[in-house]
Amino acid sequence: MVEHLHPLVIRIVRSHLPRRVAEEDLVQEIFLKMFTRLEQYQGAVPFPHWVSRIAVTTCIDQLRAQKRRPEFRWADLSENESDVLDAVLTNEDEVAPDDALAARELLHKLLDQLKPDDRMVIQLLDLEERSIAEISGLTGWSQSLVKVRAFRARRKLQKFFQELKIKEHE
Amino acid sequence: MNRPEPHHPSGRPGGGPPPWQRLVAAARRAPVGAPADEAAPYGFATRVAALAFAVEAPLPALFSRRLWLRALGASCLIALAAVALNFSAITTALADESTAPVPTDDPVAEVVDLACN
Repeated sequence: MVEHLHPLVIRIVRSHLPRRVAEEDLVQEIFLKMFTRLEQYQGAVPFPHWVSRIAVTTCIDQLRAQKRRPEFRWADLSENESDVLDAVLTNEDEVAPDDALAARELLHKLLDQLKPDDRMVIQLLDLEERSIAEISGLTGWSQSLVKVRAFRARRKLQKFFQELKIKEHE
Repeated sequence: MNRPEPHHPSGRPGGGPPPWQRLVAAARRAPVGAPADEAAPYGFATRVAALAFAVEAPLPALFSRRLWLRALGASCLIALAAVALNFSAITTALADESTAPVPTDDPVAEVVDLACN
């Protein structure tokens, strides 16, 4: 069972892995939770879906445990990441296909600026292209709450980009 | 599905997608990891199963807190019902006890009665 579910769990963990946490440790914690909560499984949803929910909530707990979020600074960005950020801010140049990996790195650095719950919603909604209903099922939050968190997170990102743009012109 | 309308937090209608959406679109083009990386490491399943079995088993259901409280409540109800049903009998017995003469066919009662007198 563990070997069968491992790919599913590792994909979730890799998408939402907090900094300084070994992915294998987190996967192990998720499977231990799965075993200890087996009696709670009612069969209302498919078993992999139930395990996914445990994985997502465990990742959120780990993100919450990281009390300090790293500060985002232009100076800390690599050359490619700076180019990507410049391109998305100016809206003049397309991001070069070679910079896709840099874009992903940059995106995760920006996501680190959000609160864990907001980050999770944005990641599931925008990156993994899940529906509100799916996110609600995965996190256990109501659909209204998911929408509110998505709105709040996007507003914060908008504000963040505006600040970056001002800093860029300085 | 109930996917929300595309959001444009930049607040610039007609000015192209906002920076966040552009960044997301660019990041999606990044290659994903090989599926082989998703397999469980050798011995991982055994280790997890061993750790799961090593975790202390929870108390039997009989001693679970919820059941214990329910049992306490039920026993209190039974006790109250018993008192209510037998209330008249108890009060009658108590009233009779104070007025009833000492039974003469009980030798112990006679000895005690003599001692008191």
